[in-house]
Amino acid sequence: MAIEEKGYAFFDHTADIGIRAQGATLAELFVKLAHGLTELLAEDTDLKPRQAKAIQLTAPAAASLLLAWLQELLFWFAAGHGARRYV
Amino acid sequence: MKERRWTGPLEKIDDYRWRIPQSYSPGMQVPGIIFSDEKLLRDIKEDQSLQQVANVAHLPGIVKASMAMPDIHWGYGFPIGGVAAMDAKEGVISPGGVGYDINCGVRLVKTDLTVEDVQPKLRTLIASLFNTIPCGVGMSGNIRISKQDADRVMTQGSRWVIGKGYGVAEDAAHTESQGCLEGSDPAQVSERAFKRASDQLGTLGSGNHFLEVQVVDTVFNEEAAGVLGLHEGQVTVMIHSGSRGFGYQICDDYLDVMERAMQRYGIRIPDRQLACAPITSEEGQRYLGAMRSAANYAWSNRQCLMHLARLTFERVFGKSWEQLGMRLVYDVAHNIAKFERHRVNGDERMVCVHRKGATRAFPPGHAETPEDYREIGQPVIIPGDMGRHSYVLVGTQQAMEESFGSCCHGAGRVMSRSEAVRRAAGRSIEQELERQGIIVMGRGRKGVAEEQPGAYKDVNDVVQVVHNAGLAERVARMRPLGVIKG
Repeated sequence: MAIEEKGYAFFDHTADIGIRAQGATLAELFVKLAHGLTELLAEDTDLKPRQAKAIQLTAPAAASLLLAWLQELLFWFAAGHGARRYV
Repeated sequence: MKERRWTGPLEKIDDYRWRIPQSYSPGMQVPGIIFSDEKLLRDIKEDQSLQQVANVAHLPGIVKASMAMPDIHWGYGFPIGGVAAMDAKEGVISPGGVGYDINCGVRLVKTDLTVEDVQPKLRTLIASLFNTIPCGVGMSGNIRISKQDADRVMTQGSRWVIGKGYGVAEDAAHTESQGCLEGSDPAQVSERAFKRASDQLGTLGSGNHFLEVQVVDTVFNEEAAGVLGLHEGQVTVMIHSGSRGFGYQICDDYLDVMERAMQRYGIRIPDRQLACAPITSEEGQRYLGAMRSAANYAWSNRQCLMHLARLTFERVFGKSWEQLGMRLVYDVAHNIAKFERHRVNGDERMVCVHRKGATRAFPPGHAETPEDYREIGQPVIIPGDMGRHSYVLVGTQQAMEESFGSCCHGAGRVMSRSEAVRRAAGRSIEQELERQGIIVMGRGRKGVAEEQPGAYKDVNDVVQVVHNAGLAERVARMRPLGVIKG
C-alpha cells in the first residue's frame, strides 16, 4: 500500500518488518509511525479509541525521542495484554 | 528501503568456508568468516547480513574473526547466525550481539512412545497442548510469581522452578549451564521489565516460537543416539521459546544505556545498532547482570513449558510422565553472551562469546558437557521449519578450535514476514501441512502464514554444512507430527 494513503507503509526485512512514515510536522510523523506500529501489533486497522493516557518523554534528539515514543507504546501494548489505538 | 545485495569481496577458503578480508574496510579489526556452501550463499548475498558480519568485525576487542553460520540472515545490528568473541579485558559487550529475545533456545524431550502409540490420539494431544500452553504475543500464563520470587528466578534459574515442583534435578543437569548463569543481578533490571516477568513464565510467545510433537525418522550415529536414548520411530517433543517480554524489555532498556556509553567511552562503530560498552565498564557490567537475569528467566520458562507439556501428555495417555519416559535430552541457548576460555592464536584466553542465533557445540570430554554425555560431546538441538525436519547433533573439537565451540541454530529465514503472508494469500497453510500429516494449531492465520515452511531455508542444507565443515556431527533427525504456534 502506498505511503500517501495512510501516511505510513511497511517494508520487508528478513528478521522482522520495517515501517516507513511521513508527516508534515514532527508531531504528525510520530502519530503516523504509532498508527503503523499499532496496525502491526493489533493486526486490525479498525480499532476505536477507548481510553486516553498522557505520556511524557524527554530525549536529547528527535531520533531518540521517536525511539522512546515507540518503545513506550510497545510497553503499554504488551503490559496491557491487548490491542489499543493510542493516538 | 530496499535490501542491499552484497557486492563486497568474498574469498573462498574451501567448500564450506568463505572470508571477508580485513582489508574490505579500514576499521575492521579481524576478518569475517562465513560457514556456508555455494547454494546457501546465494540467498545470504541477497540481504545485508554479510555487511553486518563486516560491521561486527569493527567492534573493539574482537578476536580471531567475526563469524557467521549457514543460517545467517539480516538481524538487528549483528546478523542472526553470528558468533563474535571479545577479549574479556579489552573488549566490548553489545546487546545487539545477544538479541532481543535473550536466551531464546530449544529443548528436546524424549518419550517412550512410538509414532503408532501417538497417531490415534494426535489431534487430541495437539489440541490439549494448545489449550494448556498460553501462546501469542504478551500472553500471560497461570504461573504467577511475586517480585521476590522473580528475584529468585533471575538468580537461580531452572533450579528454583524445579524446587517449586516444575521438574526434577536431572532436568537441570541436562540444561546448558545447568539452567543458571552465575553473576545475574536483579538490581540492574528495570521496573518495567519486572512487570513483564511476573506472569509470563510457562508461556510460549509468538513469532517463530513453537512446541512440536515429532518422530525420530533417521539415526545417523547409532552410538551417540544410544547414549542420548534416541531411536527411530520414537516420539519426541521440542520446545522453542525464550525470555518473553522480560528479555525484550532488558534489551530495549540497555540499548539506550549503551548508546550513551559509546559517547562516554569514545567508541566509534559503523552502525548504531551495534551499540556497546566496554565489558569492564559500569554500563557493561550492569547489562551483563541484567542479561544473565533474563537468561535464567528463559531457562525457567522452558522448564515450566516442559512441565505443562508433561502434564498434558499425562492427561491424554493416562500415565505419569515418568511412565511415559518424558526425560529431557538437552536444552540449548542460542541468543546469549558467555565468558569462556578459548585458544586464540595459540594462547588460551578468557573471551566473551556473543552467540546470536548460534548454538554452543562443545566437544567430547569438555567439563561443561553433562557427565552422562561427556564421551559423545554436548548435544546441539537444531529446529527446522514446521513442515520439514529438526536435528540433534553433538559438538566437536573442530568447533572448539575454529568457531569458539559454536555452530548454527536453525534453518534461518529466507523470506520476510510480509512476503510470506503475501505468498500465503488464498491458501491454507494449515490444510497444506495437514495433507502431509502435520497438525498445526496457531493463534492466528497470519502467524502460521509467516512461519510457513517456504519462509525458511531447508534445515537439511544448513545442517549438512555444519556437519561437513566439522563444527558438529549429525546424530538424529526428527520430522514433525503436530505443532502449536504463538
